Amino acid sequence: MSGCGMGEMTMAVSARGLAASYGKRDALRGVSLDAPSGSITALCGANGSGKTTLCKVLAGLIQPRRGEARILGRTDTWAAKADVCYHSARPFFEPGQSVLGLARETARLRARYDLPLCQALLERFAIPGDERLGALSKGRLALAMFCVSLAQDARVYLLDEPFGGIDLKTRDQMREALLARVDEGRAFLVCTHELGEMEGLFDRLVVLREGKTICEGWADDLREEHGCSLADLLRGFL
Amino acid sequence: MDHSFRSDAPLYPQIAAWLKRAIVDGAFPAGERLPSIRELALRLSVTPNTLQRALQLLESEGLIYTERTNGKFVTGDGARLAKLREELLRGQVRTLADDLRRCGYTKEEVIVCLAAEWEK
Repeated sequence: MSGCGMGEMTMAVSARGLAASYGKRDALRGVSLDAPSGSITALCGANGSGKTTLCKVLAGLIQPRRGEARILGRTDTWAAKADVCYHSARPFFEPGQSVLGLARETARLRARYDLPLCQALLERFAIPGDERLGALSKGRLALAMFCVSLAQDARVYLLDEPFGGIDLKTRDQMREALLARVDEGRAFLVCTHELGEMEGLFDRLVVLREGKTICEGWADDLREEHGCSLADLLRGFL
Repeated sequence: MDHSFRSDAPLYPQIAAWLKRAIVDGAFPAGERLPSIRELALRLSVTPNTLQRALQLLESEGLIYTERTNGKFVTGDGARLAKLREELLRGQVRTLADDLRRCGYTKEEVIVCLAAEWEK
């Protein structure tokens, strides 16, 4: 790529030939990808294609059977966890805990956490900090979790389906919040099915099918090469 | 300033075109500093990387320049800006002319109509 070569970029996340399984079922069968610092990568693929498993491997929660994952150059992805924000699509939470209570607890557990940012985000999305997590609707719970995650001061963000179940207008605001969080020291990997409404948000696209990387590249290069939007490109792969 | 980009073509040239237009219409005046990459990226809802690539294109065309610590500035070169103005006009008119020609209008019809619209 002419204007945006990878040579000078720091690779925040890289994977080569990753394989992982749950018992006898192979979830990953050869995933390779690169996510440079300062960039947002969309991780796409049909349900069951391995996106969540990949996030868990990168977060150090699942041991790969084969291949290598590096976070900020380190192969021990669990040891790198202080620099990693893992945002699960199915988070565990205590229904009686308040939103801000969760943020404070996260702040205590993390080396670096931006509590004022979390409060500002919650305010922007009109989520009262004292609201109990168990009392929130599905969409607003996802939104609250997104605010808590984004306020982590990490260098790698693994966001699994942050936009699922969220209305269009709120999604636009989430996109703004995410873009405002990007800087040279941070890399974002975002699992999403909402590519069509989010085209401008992504620098790179990675597509998984049946546990393998079948497409990876810079968004604008892919648009140029295939003469279509990322969403249409993805549609052709599914 | 309104903007909407096509997603079936690379974004960075479209952003570059938007920036050029903003220079011509005076939103980003000659010789003055551009907003930061971060600010522009947020305004256009695109990533800082994509914005950076658009700015590189403008810089390679001599329309903006970087001052090491101060950021990026619109060129003060009057001749270069005059050329940009000319390019924008030609581009717009070409698109219009091609389209109307395909619809079967004559040059005279178009010129008469354009002149009348201009006076409104």
